[in-house]
Amino acid sequence: MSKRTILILFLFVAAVAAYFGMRAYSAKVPQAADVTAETTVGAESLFNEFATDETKAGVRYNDKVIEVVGAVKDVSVSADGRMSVHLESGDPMGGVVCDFSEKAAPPAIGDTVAIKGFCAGYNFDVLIQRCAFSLAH
Amino acid sequence: MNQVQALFCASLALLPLLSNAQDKYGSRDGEITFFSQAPLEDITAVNRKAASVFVPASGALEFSTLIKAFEFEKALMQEHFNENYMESGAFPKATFKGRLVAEEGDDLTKSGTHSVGVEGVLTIHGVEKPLSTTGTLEVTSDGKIKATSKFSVSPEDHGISIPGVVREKIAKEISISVNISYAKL
Repeated sequence: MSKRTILILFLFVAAVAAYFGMRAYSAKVPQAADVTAETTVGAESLFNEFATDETKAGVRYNDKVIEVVGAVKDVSVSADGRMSVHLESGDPMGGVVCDFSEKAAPPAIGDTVAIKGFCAGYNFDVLIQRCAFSLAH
Repeated sequence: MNQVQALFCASLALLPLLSNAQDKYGSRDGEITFFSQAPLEDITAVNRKAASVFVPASGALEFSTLIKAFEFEKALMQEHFNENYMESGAFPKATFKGRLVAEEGDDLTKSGTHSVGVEGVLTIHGVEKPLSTTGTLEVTSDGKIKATSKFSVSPEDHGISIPGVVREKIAKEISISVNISYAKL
């Protein structure tokens, strides 16, 4: 193989590596709508797990896409249009908050919904981010 | 019981020594933004889920937020932030415990815009550091309160190591902006 051929091959490999490197660097944070949930859990059960042992529940759920099923307790929309759906936990101390980064139709209070999203942890509420509805509601 | 009332119940764990006669205000949607300006790259992230309780009569203020709730534009930045720098698995939250200090003669329970001092302890990455800065408190006649503040934090002060190969990509001092709207509990 000539030096010229080797150089061309090297530049080609470098260009491909640079392309995929830039793609990886520029990749947006994934939304749950694009990912399959790893597990399904009831909102009350999820909240109880975190309230009982935050560390253990964090190992089990944090950073994972989970589907949470529960009754809608409240729906709030921020000034910039971001919706949060609060699911009933059965505990007055807190609940499961499902935060939607992308627009979605708000559910009715009392509806039972299935929402998938990335579990971020527990801070008075269990926070699920980048959410999407699993089923039509 | 709605979310705001539930936060009141939770606030009992944060402010146990306060008199029950003092009005308490709470929020679960406080916004915290950090901004790193460096020659190679600017990095910004927003956290819209800070929980906070404020008592105007005493100025006592506390907030708590999940590190994983900081949202970045790029997935790699969010991953490095959580796994390499903040180690959010081991240190899941950032907290502040302190008080707003009114100017002499000012009453934070009155409607209006108040310039305040902010004094307390900021805990990030498991490391507590005193924080002394300024802020603004807007009190409206309909019972709403908005607190804003802006200050800088050095990652190294909170035990956050930035590898040499990326040190020039991250500012020595990170700018933090806090914007919390409270409702009466």
